[in-house]
Amino acid sequence: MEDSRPLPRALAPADLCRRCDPTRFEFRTTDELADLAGSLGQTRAADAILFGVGIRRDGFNIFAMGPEGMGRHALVRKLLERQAPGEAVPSDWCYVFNFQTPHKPRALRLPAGRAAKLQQDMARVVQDLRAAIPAAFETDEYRTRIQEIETEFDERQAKAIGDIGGRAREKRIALLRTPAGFGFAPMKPDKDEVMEPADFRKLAEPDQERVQEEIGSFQVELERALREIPKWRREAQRKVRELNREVTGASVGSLLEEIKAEYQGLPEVQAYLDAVRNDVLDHVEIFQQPKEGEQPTLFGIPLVRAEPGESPLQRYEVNVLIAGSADKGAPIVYEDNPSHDNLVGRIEHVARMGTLVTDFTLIKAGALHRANGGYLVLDALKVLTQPFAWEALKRALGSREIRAESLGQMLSLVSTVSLEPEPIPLDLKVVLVGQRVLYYLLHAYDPEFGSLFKVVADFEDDMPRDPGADLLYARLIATMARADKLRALDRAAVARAIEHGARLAGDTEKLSMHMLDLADLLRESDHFAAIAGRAVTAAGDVERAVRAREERAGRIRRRLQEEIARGTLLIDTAGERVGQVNGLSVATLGGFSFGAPHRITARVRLGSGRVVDIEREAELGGPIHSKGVLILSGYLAGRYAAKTPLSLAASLVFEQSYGGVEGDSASSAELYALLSALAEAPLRQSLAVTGSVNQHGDVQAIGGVNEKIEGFFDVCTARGLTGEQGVLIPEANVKHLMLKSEVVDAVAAGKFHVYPVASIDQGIEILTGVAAGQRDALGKFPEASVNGRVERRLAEFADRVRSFGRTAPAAGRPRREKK
Amino acid sequence: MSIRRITVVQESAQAGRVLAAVAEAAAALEAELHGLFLEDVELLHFAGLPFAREIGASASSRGLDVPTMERRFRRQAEAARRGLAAAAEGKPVRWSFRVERGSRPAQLRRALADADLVVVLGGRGLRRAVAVVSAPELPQEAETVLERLARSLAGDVYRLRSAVDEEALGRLLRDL
Repeated sequence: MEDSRPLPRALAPADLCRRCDPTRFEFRTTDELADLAGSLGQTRAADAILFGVGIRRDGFNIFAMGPEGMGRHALVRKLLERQAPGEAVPSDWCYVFNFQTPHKPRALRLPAGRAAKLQQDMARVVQDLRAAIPAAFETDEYRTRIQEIETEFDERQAKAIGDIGGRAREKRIALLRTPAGFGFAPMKPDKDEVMEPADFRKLAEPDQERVQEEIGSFQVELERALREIPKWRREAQRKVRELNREVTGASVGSLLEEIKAEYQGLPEVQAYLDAVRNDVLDHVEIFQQPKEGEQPTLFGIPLVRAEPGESPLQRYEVNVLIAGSADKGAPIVYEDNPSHDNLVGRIEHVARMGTLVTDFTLIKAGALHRANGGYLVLDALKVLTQPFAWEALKRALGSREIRAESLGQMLSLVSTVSLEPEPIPLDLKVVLVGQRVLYYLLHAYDPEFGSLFKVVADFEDDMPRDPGADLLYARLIATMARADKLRALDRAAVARAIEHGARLAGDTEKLSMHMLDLADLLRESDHFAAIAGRAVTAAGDVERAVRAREERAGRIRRRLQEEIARGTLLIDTAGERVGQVNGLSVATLGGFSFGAPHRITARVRLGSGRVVDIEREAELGGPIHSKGVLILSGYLAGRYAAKTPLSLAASLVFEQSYGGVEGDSASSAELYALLSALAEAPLRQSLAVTGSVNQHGDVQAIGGVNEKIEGFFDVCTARGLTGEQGVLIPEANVKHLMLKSEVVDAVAAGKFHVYPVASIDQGIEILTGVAAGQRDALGKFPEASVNGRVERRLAEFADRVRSFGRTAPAAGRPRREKK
Repeated sequence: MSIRRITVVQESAQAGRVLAAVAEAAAALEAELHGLFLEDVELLHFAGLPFAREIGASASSRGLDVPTMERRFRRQAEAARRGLAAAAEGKPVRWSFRVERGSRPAQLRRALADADLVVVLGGRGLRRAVAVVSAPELPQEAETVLERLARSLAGDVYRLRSAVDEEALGRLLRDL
């Protein structure tokens, strides 16, 4: 591409930094400014959040994305706090014992504020039952009836045995009660006493046999009778149970009816209270408190007693999971530690008799429970880094219910007594706050993500700096200063802070929306104002804060500058040299960016048309850098060797670079070095260059232009400004210039220059002082021009390759041959 | 007329609660407490029979001989003595314990003659416990103690008008 435009002039001081004129402000200090109500510059994100909050459909959860420190959490919170109080208060939830399947506790839903009441009511019922049931058993009526049952059983038993005894007696056989049972023995003929063995042996043998036979048959009869006894005992026990139910039924029933009346319209609670009544009547014995150290018995059979620490009455407790208050609106929950258990709740265990046991009272609420019916704000990165938390969150949102399940249980890591609590229906909005990369990665790799987080609130990095914006920004500063209880800022200080905002955005037409950075700058300025003993923060304090911040982070930058000044890092800032140019790089370390010059050199020789990028060969160059270098070959071939083979071998290197190079912002500098080497035209070393280049030779915009200019400026200043020095930047980057005041002052004094360059031709002319040259009517570049010299050199290379090729057919693999 | 001497006839090892109730009553009445374990000769005669078999409450039967029966008596007597000692411990009661072998009716008769109150624990009549008072009338406090005792024993209280009320005694002995 031929560039016939005149050479660009160095930029005027006014172009180097868009100042914020404090006199345009009508206020004196920020105290006079009203608070900013809305969210400055984040209209799109705010609208998205409000849309997500307003739409009551599945999957319309919100992902608020943007870099750290943009005030994402603050804005989300502010908008939710505006919305939530007007919304319905969610229901209370509690877990109660499931009398049918004890390992599956039942979830009860109650109107807000009623769960705690139910808990108290049940505690009171149990308390009352503990008094009422023993009292019912203490009555004479009960005692009499129990005795009746017992006597009936005893008599039945006695009669059965007594009958056999009576009939035996008729045959002169005694029924004896031995210490462990019964036995039959012949009686003395004259007395009601057992015959002595010696007398028995004196009997005639037939008599002995007869007695034995009779005793044998009585034994069989007695055994038969004794076998009936357990059945009678069971019968008696059943009667006792029935009696217990009957006796306690009235008091239990009236107590529960009393609270049932308070929960009318809540059929689930009513059903639960009915179940409680039945269970109490089935287990009245647990309400009787046995005397200390005594085993409770029924018919002398010890009853299984609860282990210490476990109260059998615990089954009637109510575990209140969520107890809202009726006047607060929908809840907003921010879970700072969104682990799996903290999200879905956990089931705790207690050690008892050496084993871990649990019950429904040990179910604890998670963030999903607490936010149910409202809003849950989570940090995306935290959720993703907690094991299984993301899966649990998705499962809950997908199934629309919360299933409290411990991680150990889910992974089958612990095998102990466990619970399966009834799931609780889930209806809430989740707002995930995270970086953009997380959103895009989740969208790409998690198929469920898109359907669960349908609303994206994308936060802006900056806002346009249109005429009204400065004042809005000033109000933002005023709001932040007041919120943080800082000194007010005078308008010059505000102007300086706004300039810093533009510098952070790296753009004269933008202001940074990085709230954390701005807030820190205000705090730091306030600190310096305090040291200076000022009541109002002045521009000097802001300036000092900016400088101090650079100074704190600037050790590596200073070391680089120092080594350049000492000649360890070879950078020329005066004179001329062929094939050598000052390139500019920018480094970001710990959030602090700075620029520094780098020497770039090029050597050329006859070859096969390859431009060797030494950085890439040494694997120090990144792919974008390699791409930039490959573009150079395209430019050279297309511009100068369209009709002849490009028979050039060139090597390019970033001298004294050991840490790797990435980006294509040095590609124009590399091209200048290459052209200089080809044309053997020396380049001014007092200039530094930045900008990328395309195959047509257009110079394209790059990033970090301010840092790069300042990096070279600092090197030159350290050596003394000569008035010759300056930087070539892409024309497209002029709108990004927010240079520090020293640079602007030096430019104003004519000691430093910034040249906006649109094409390689413009740049090479500034750097060599020789015209780039344009093709004439015959398509020839002027002889003396840089382009003419380059073309001639390349043609020379091509000729030599041709002649070399005649003698050595395989180029690149020369054969030894005599001419 | 009050209760000065209580004999508790222990025919088998009894639950501590019942013995404790008796000991409590003795303390309340400031009476002496005598434990008596009966070794019934009739049982020994029975065990001596060549075909003696014992049928347990679970309706299972097993053979029996005199040494086994004597071993049982010794073991039960020891358990009865320990039970009584434990029941009386810590209570202001004077107590003693003895083992007697003989005919059961004769021994019971003697016990009734000697003591003002006889408590038979684990008797033959399938009752858990029976208390026999050989005094026709008692002061009110003693009646109260007796009532409480009867409730603790969950058994019957028999009243003899005097130790020589033969008809009542005969009926009682069959029941005991």
